[in-house]
Amino acid sequence: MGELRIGAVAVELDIPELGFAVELGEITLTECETVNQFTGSKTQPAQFTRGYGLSFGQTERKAISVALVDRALRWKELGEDDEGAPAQDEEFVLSHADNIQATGFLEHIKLPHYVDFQSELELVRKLRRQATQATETEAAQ
Amino acid sequence: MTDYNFAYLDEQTKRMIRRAILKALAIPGYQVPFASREMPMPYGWGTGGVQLSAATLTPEDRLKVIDQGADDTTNAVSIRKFFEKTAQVATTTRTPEASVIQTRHRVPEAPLSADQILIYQVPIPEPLRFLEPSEVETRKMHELSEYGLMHVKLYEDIARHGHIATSYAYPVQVEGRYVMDPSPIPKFDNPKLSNCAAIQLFGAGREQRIYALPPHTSVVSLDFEDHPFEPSKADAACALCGDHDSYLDEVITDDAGTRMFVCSDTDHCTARRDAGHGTEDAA
Amino acid sequence: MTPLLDVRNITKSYGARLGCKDVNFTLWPGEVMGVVGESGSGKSTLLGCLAGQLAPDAGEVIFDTRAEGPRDTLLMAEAERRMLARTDWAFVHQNARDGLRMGVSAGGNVGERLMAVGARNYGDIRTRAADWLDRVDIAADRMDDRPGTFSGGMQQRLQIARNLVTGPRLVFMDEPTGGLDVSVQARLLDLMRGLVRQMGLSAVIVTHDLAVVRLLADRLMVMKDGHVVESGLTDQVLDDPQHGYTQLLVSSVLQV
Repeated sequence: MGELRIGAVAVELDIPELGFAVELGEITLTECETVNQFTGSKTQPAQFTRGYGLSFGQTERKAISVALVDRALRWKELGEDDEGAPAQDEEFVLSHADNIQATGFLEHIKLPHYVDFQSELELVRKLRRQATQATETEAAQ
Repeated sequence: MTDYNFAYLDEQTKRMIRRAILKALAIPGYQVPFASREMPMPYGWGTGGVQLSAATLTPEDRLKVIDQGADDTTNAVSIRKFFEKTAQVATTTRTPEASVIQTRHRVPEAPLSADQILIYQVPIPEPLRFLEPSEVETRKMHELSEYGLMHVKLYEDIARHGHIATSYAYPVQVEGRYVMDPSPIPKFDNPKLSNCAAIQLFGAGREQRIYALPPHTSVVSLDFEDHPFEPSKADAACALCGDHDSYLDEVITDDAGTRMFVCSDTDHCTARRDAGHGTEDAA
Repeated sequence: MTPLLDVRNITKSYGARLGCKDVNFTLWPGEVMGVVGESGSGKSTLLGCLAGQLAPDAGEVIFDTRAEGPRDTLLMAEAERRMLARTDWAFVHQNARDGLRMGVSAGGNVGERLMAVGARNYGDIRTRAADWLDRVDIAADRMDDRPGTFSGGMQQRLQIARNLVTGPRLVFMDEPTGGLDVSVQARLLDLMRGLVRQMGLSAVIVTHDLAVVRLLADRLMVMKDGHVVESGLTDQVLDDPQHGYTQLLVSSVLQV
């Protein structure tokens, strides 16, 4: 770990009507910079690679995690192989990070679904009816 | 006077959404990304549909909101109240009287007309999601119309179950081009999407996508010639209004498992009963 | 006669590292071209460039299309090239897992290409899939099983059936017998030779196994360090190799 620090940061809102920024208050942030494996080649001397993470509140482990994932996502610019690892896939990382959208699918399960369920029920009954008929026909023969 | 801007969203946001709607109408079935806003309700509770309604409503409109076919379900009640408060528009439960209808999981039984807009709430806009998890790949598949995989899924269903095993959110192809998720409506409702006189808009707030069907668009449910698409429903008539042809909910009425079938579309059922239909029609 | 495939000056490098350079050859209808060389010789890069999976830095890959005659496939729009890849072309991967859908039944795997080009009759698709499974010696009662339950040789035969069901004119094969037992290889080669002859297929086969090219290829190219060092009729090249590298390659194979 290169650096891990927690601090208060001022939040300013730039108000066009006033022509200057107004300070609204302070928030706590945690910031992390990691130093990772070095790279290099014949033409480029060896150098360490870095990852960066920033998170709200006093959340050290989260900031470190973000820094590690940030480093993993930089595989293309560092000329590394695609290992097929989820952490190398921006799409996977973004859809699994704790963004607010991720909660929506769970939230919606609380709503009723009986119309879909009824449709599914009709289909399962139909399939079971046919399976029973097939067994009975076999038994009769 | 309300403390909210008309229909909650600011005018710039509504413009942005209207631009996305126009693009979606110009390319039927294509998923248009839009900058979905945070709404004062959880994602997954119709934030996409609500943003479409907010961008579509005018003060003269009359709004109807449906969840599971009914006007008195949690989601329907809260969204209707939301617009009563923020847009002060008139509301109704009668399908023919509404100019804007927001719905979750059903298409009304009554035919829609050219002066109506039907807005669907969509949880997962990508019909290929469960065949190909990567959005990068599915966009490429849409771009190149590579939809063979969709039929492979239907083939596998028939090989395993003897039937196509999708009963809701049944995929459709729009005007022979884009494959589209009709939102989780029962497949019974699929035929109503095609050649519909009303504008149909689909909004997925969480996934930030809008898509649309302009009036009288051809919408075909995917199938095989020898295993054609079948819009199915419970083989019964409504216990209240006697209708044989409407989509039915199955209601358990006591602890002994006694059940009755009633119309899922509560307005349709009420209208029939008001017109004098009843259980004698069921015979 | 028009060549089915006319390859001109194909060059591809990966940064400073050379994949293949200035490869030229023509493939005539019904002809099988073998490409041999050790790993890193550029033969798989070449195949990838021909089949539209890699973008070469320079060169032309001119294919005699059914509708419009000879066209450079590298200049085609991706939609058109992909269409070609699922109709007139076929690609048999070394690892069957790369060429099959492991979560889909054998019948579904074979049927996919038919459905991708518009087949919409379940009964017909099934009949044609069954016919092809039979042609590659896969028992009819395995049709609804997933390929994960198949042996390596069966998976490879299934991959071949899946590729040939649309009646392609050009087949690309990348080490089709790699990783299989010798007895399984023999059966597979026998099957492939039969199909190539029956269907009059043209093919480009990349392999490091000289036995494969001796059995299947009419002509041969030998690659080393990204360059073609020798080419000619298969028997001629194998029996009377001219280039030092080819001589080394041929002499290192056990004579049986």
